[in-house]
Amino acid sequence: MVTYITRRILLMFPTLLGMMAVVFFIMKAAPGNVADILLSGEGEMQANEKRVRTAYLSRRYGLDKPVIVQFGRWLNKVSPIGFRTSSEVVADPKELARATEMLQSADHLLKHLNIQDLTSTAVAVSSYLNDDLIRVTQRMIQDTRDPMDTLGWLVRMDTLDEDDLSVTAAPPPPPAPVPDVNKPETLVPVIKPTTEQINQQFVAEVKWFGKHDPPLALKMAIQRLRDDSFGLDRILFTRPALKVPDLGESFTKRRPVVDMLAETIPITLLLNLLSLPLAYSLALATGVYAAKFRGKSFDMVSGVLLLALWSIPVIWAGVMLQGLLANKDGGVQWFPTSGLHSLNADQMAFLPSYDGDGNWQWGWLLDMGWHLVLPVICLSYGSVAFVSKLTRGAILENSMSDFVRTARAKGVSSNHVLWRHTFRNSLLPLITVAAFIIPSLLGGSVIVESIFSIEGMGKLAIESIMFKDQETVMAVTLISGILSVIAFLVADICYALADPRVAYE
Amino acid sequence: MENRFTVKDLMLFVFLVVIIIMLALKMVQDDRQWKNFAQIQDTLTAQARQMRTISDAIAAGVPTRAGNDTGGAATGVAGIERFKRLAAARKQPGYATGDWMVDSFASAPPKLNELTAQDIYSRMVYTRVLESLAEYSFDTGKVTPVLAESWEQGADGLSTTFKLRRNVRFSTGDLFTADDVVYSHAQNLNDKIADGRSREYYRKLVRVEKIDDHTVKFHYSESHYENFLRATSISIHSKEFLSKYSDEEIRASTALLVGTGPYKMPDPTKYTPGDQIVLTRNEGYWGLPGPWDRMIWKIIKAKSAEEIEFRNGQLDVFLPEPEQHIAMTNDKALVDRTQHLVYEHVRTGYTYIAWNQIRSGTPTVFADKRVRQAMTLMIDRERIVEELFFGFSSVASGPFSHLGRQADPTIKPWPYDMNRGVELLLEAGFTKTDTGRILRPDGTPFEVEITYGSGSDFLQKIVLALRDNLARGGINLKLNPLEWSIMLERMDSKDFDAIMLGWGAGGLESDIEQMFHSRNIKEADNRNAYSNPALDALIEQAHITLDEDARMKIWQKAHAILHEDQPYTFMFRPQVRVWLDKRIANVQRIPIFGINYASTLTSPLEWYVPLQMQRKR
Repeated sequence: MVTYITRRILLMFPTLLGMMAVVFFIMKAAPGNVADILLSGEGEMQANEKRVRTAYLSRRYGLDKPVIVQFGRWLNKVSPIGFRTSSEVVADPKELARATEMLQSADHLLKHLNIQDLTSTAVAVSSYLNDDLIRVTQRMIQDTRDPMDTLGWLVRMDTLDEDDLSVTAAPPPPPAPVPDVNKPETLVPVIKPTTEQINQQFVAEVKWFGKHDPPLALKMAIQRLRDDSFGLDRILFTRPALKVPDLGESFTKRRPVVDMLAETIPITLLLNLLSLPLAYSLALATGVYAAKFRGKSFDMVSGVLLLALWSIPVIWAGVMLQGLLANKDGGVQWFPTSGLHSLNADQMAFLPSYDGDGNWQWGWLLDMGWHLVLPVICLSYGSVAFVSKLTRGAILENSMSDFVRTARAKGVSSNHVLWRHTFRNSLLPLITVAAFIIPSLLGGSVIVESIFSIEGMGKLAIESIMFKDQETVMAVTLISGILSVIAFLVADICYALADPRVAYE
Repeated sequence: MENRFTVKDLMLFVFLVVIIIMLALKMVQDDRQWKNFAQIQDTLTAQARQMRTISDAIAAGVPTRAGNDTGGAATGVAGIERFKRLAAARKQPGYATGDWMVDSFASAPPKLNELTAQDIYSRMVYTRVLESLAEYSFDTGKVTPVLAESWEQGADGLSTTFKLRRNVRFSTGDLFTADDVVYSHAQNLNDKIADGRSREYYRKLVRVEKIDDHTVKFHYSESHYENFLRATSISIHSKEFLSKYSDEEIRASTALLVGTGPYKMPDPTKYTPGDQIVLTRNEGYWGLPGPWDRMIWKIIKAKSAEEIEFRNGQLDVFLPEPEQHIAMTNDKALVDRTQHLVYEHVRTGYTYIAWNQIRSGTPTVFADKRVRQAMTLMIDRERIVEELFFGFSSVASGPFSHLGRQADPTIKPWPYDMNRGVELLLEAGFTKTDTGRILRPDGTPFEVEITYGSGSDFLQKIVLALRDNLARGGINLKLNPLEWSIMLERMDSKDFDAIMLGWGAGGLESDIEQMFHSRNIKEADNRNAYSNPALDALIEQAHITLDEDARMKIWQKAHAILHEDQPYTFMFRPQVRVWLDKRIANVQRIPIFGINYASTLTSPLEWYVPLQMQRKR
């Protein structure tokens, strides 16, 4: 058994990896560009602005890299063991001092930007440039905000266009056989090996301009620092380390995905933890009872009713329940229409009690329960019908089997036969169904969440797919993927518990 | 006998799970109460600080205003242009403060902080909390001072100097100074917070200079009439409060909203998207206090649920769909116990069909002005308004609202005239067959493919009406519904015949450079490659004309050119249908804004609930 479970757990990883890869590449293959979607919400874009901002967004979110590289980066980010990125490296005090010095002189230079007097200093600054320093500066910019804020409006991306470069009418910098950063990259199945080369070329360019047009060199250098600090962290392929998995930041909502999951998962779990046991207990009771009195009036009536329930779409049922049970005008106002709490829930005590003035109040807990009644009904009635029918069928099938007949012949009481022999054997299909229901419940409550205005996982998933919100889609898929594989494992273990004939040896 | 999982075990298990869930919920509730407690403490601290300042001032013998009684400060404030309307409302016989105003959003805004939020709903919230240097006035539609006392435009149009109001405090109790203006501007340009979003919007506002604690000077990179409007539109955040947080913290946080406005977040550091949004009164507000004690926004996704809540009296404001509105007006009992208004305001956007003039490098038939005019003439916009919008829209004559001053009041939308349309097409070289079909000049049947967003039944209905409409004139309209992301790509590559889209609302004055100036054909929003040198010149002239009246005349000329050229067939401007609870008093119709309530402006709230009708105290 232990071996079996271990093997299953080890198999989970390739399964998950495959799942994530399929989702990721399908998402990337779908038409439409995230940067476009992000742009469109904002209107007011002029020719240059749009180009600059598209480039900015692509850089910020790493969308300009080849798809396979993006996937690799994502895996590296969520994996608890992985490579560190340049922004995680902490600089030592000596490096920090150098970077500070450099930025201060750059800041000073820019404040009094005057081509004639600054030649010597500018060259001196550009000579500092090397890959280490960029990294250190990056780190420093994150620690101290001020120098960069000042530079922020002085050196703007759009001031550094091709126009700027062409003004100098200078021969191009020494040609090096390295790919152009701006050109669309072809699919190369490695994390791009050329960052070092690009840096070398860049330093060469800056040095060249440092001789011919120092202010421009300075601008280029500072822009590069800015780009690096906002753009991608470079992955350092030196030493893999243990780290905290990072699910990234939502493109559209611009919040850490973890925060969003932490808000929505408890709500969805609460809904499901209430509706699933409710559905199962009701379904088992009616199913067993209907099977026991097969062909009697209860069986007939419950059969018809359950079939009717099964065929009612949730969206209709939800709106009808709202209109009939929460509406002063069209029905009765027994339940609230939407949300999880009343307006004054903050001021309520936890449990029902008398408040200071001796007035009875229901309290926070019951208020929430009261809000949950209609959503839970909506979530569970469908599974009640389904599981009940399934239970009835399974029990009927088993009650005709040999071992039941034998048990009866031995003179075992009919209740004992039903629960010990028939029911236990009928559990197998129910366990299978449960394994499928559990993962789908997380995303499957989207309709109920929308009707009753509850902010849960379902809505988060649908919205993120619609807006191609890559990090959120991946996080939601990862979580429901993990839940699925765990649910299947638990189901397999349950088979063994429920049925002594099943053994994993 | 091996251990069996019995019913008793199950009961025990269920019992344990229930206890654990209860404990978890109890922790949540305790946390809430603890936060309430912390808020009360914060309020007390702020009040104590204010008291100390006041007693210090008294001790120092600061001269008080002449004739100062308890209402002395308020009369001083009531004299300010911005509060004139509210001051008038306060004199009404039934005026009272108190009660909660409950509104709803269709989706939860992900963030509330102006620096990081980007949706309309968050705007509706933070405009009650933050104020800017100046704001449009309901009466005149002109910009009137708010946090600025006065301003002076630089002679070269390259700067504006603002004198700031003194003794204004943030809801945290900190004094508002020039530092806050400089800080707010800088944070808007801070890429780590604002993602480069507002950097382009404030591009021409290169620098904000602090002259002294109560004077700031905005420097512009070039002269443009919008510079001043953009400078006054910057929402002022508290530097004292926000600078306690790092850029990353501000960016990741959903809240961190502290301003000088009449309302405040009870806990400015905390907001969970999906929870109802509550604003409470800012007791230390410098101006005339608003009538409501609380502003509350619930999140209600389904329109049907929203209607039920409104009918139940749990919502004070409801904007129904046209069908809902009609059904509701037929419900006599509901009409009697509520109030409703239908109005149009100047800040509405419009829908349009853009006729693509250059496709894959070659001019299309729509490059001919007569063809575009013919298309407009052959579309019965009035009928669509009547039958599909149930009358809740108006036909647009151009990019400017007829309620504003930019539109030339003499221009009326092109009428529906099928015959005239066909005549124009014939003039342009098209031919008409005996069966009534229109043929292109090259002899092929005239077919137009219209691209529009899929997924909206209503849009689909409009497009079908258009197809039916044009078929009568012998033109075959082919439908091409696309998903938004694909449509964006098509727009960029200009790969379409005609496209149906809308432009959203802007301020009171909208700049049309973005969509009609020929310099924006290549990579921006002049999607249908329209160009007219005369219009380009007018737009450029308007940009540098700082005198408002003169500029309006230029815009009116531009309107006339666009009316003649019909680069778009301008379609509809929506009207707002608003239903309000009966107890809300002082709901007025006003020109320009349509109604004396603007959800996304910082204008003072004028609606109130008379004392005997108040529900919450």
